[in-house]
Amino acid sequence: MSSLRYRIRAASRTVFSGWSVALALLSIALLGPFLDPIRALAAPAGETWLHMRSTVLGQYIRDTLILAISVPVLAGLFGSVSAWMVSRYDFPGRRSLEVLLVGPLAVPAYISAYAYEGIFGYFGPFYRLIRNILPGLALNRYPDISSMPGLILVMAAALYPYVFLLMKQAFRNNISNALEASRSLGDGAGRQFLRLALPMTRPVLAAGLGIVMMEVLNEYGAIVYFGRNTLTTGIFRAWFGFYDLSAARRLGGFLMISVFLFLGLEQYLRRNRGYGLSGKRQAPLERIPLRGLRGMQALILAAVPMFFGLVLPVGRLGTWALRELPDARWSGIFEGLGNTMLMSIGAALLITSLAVIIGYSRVRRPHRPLIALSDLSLMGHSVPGAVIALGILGVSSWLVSLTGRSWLAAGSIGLLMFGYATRFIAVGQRPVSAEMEHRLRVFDEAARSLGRGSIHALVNVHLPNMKRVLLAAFSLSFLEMIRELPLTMILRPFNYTTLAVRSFELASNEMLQEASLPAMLLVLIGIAGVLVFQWGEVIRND
Amino acid sequence: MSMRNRCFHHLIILPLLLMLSLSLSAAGGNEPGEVVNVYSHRHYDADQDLFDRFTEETGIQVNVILASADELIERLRAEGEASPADLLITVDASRLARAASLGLLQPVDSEVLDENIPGNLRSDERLWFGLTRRARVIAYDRTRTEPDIDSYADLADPAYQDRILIRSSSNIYNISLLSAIIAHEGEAAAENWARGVVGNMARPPQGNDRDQMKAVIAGEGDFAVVNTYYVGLLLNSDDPGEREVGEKIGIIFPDQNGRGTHVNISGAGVTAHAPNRDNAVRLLEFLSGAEAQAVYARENFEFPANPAVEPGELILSWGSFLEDDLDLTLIGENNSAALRIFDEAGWN
Repeated sequence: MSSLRYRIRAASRTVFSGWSVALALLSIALLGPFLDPIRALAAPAGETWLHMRSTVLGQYIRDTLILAISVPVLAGLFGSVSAWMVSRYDFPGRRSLEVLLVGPLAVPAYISAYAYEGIFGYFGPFYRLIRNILPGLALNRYPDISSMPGLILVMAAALYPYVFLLMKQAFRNNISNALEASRSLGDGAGRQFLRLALPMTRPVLAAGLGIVMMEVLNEYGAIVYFGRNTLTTGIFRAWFGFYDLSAARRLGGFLMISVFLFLGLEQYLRRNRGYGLSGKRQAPLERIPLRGLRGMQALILAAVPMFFGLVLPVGRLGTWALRELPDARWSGIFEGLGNTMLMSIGAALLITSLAVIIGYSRVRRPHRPLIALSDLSLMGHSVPGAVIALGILGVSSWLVSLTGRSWLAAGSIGLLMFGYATRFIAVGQRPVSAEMEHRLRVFDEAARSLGRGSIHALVNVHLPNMKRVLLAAFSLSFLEMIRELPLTMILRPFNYTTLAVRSFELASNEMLQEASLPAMLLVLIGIAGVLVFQWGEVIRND
Repeated sequence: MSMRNRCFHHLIILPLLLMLSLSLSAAGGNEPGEVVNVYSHRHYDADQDLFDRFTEETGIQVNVILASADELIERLRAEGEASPADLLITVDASRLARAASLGLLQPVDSEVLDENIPGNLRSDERLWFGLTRRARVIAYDRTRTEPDIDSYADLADPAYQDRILIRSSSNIYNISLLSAIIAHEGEAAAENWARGVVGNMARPPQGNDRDQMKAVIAGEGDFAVVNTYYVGLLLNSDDPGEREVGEKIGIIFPDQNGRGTHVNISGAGVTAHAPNRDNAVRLLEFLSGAEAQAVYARENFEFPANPAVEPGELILSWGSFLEDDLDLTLIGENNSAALRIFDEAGWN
């Protein structure tokens, strides 16, 4: 009997160290494509770097900072207010709104930027209308959408759903006890939101803002179109303009270091504030019904971000797409549709699985260096996809020359999948890790004390209770994947296209109308993805 | 309970299965028979039609990967001798020159190509060949503005303050234009020119070539620097607003009394390790031939590289013009200098 117990303990110890090994190996693999840029920071500065530093670097840093701060702030405001409205109140149209509020995730930011220019440009419907009403208004009196405030609005409206999704979950499921107490003390709605709901969900908000900031840092198309320069656009200038790889890597390293500092700050905030959320399961928040005028007001307030992120750009795309319907080239579009679905589902499953392994390993083996390594491996989300793709090309040519295996070469699906995982692991891992951290501290000891080892505990006890967060990780990665562009373009096999690639090809020829059709399909798939996600929530809540 | 658990086992196994099946299907995609593998920066439907036509004529399957030339060049470099690519197609001479200088292209001796493509539109070593020409011209509003500008130098003349529209300096067409100015006049003169243009800009650079022409018609500025084929694309747009812009646009070919209008090429070269070299040469010959050249001109409003082929109706309506016959290789060599000058002049 005691020898059996001893054997179990010994076996489980092996498995525990297995978790550390898994975490270390996965993190290192995911970091592989970034090693060169970080190393480049240590090398002496070249001529291009000195030139950029003395001319444009200051401006790049300034624009990067402005965007990296103001876009998350606005997106945070959009996302948390809407999330609060749909979780706290019930009003006419709430159910549909909950789905539509996530819709902007299916609209690539650069497409949104083109659509905004299409609406608010001089020949767009907006100023046409204004000119009809006020014929004498001079052009220079018009506010210009392609300005910094315009860019901030376009990007925040495209990215707030990350905050919305995470905050809605947190509001719905983690604060109901405290909120009921506050309400019974007679606190008003605004006070409940600002004094209670927001502070209690601060770590979740930080995670959401983190995702938004990373998206901002890697954005390329919308920023270039609006004539701005960031560290990311600078990387491309150094690389493909000056053909100076070391300067490009240096800029990339610079960008990564700032991301790492930010991640550290987020960790620090999380630790310092504590989680604020109890591990105990709470009843879902009761919604307060609002009828009549108050219901309308609530609907309008909650729908503001959706108006900017979905209604305006999709309205523009939709009218363009209708015009294109008669002479569309369907074969390419259908091919792109099939590939988009298959690849996005496959990659989202892969990312979710990896997120589970990493998240569990982090909780099982919270060694500081290992955690730091794993934090570093989240960087992919903030680095422009093209930079990762080129890093992966490097890793791949090294592996192929080492092993002679062609499935490691560019153009193979395996390498493409590796690229997607590197790029988007943060999207899956952030929600999964956050949930695991606060859930498993409470339940894991109990689950493992049943004596069947940690894999058993993970698969049989924890995962079934984390369905919703797993679905969230899956659907967020899916929504990222359907829009993914640079990795697919650079690493894809011959004759392989996706909807995002197809719409980019057309848009890059300045054929925006033609591009609108695949872009619209992309939006529809995205909405379908959101519906699946919502459906998962409903099951769980019943 | 057990149903649920199985569900989550599947969650882990499924992606592995999916990946396996995807890799198998990708590996099985290579049918036997003649193929030619193309890396191309030309994302035009007309190009795909031409490839289909080539397959019809020769039975050679054309496999394509579209991406930016810079990315494709990096991929070629990483793949090295194992690269499956046979033909690299770009939309700019600088990138062809760069691919050539990296040793990624091989010379092609072909009587057909020598006959179809004039000497100034191909590299001396026959590493690459131009397929179409694009002129960088000045657009103005015919209904409103006197076309009193007649050279690139005028764009920098203080008389035109707040009247010039041109896109960002990260755009390769602008980089090539400044590279050409450097090649002709040297770096100091080029820098003066860039500073002058920045001083004359009606607004900070933003948007694409079409947007510059829209801004001209909107009255935000008077003269926009654009590539010719975008005028054709505007005139044939599905958007009535864009057609309206196209109809008002007039074109000035700069430097007709001097060295001629700056012309860039879209072109192609056979890769150094092409596994299907002969097919690549056949495709290149086909693309330089009368049928394909007419398609480029008709569908995409580009100037054919093959002098025997008539440009489209619209292009003809602009009349003939004097072209700058600068050696295109020089443009590639001056790219970095051009970017440095843009940065120093504060041209975003």
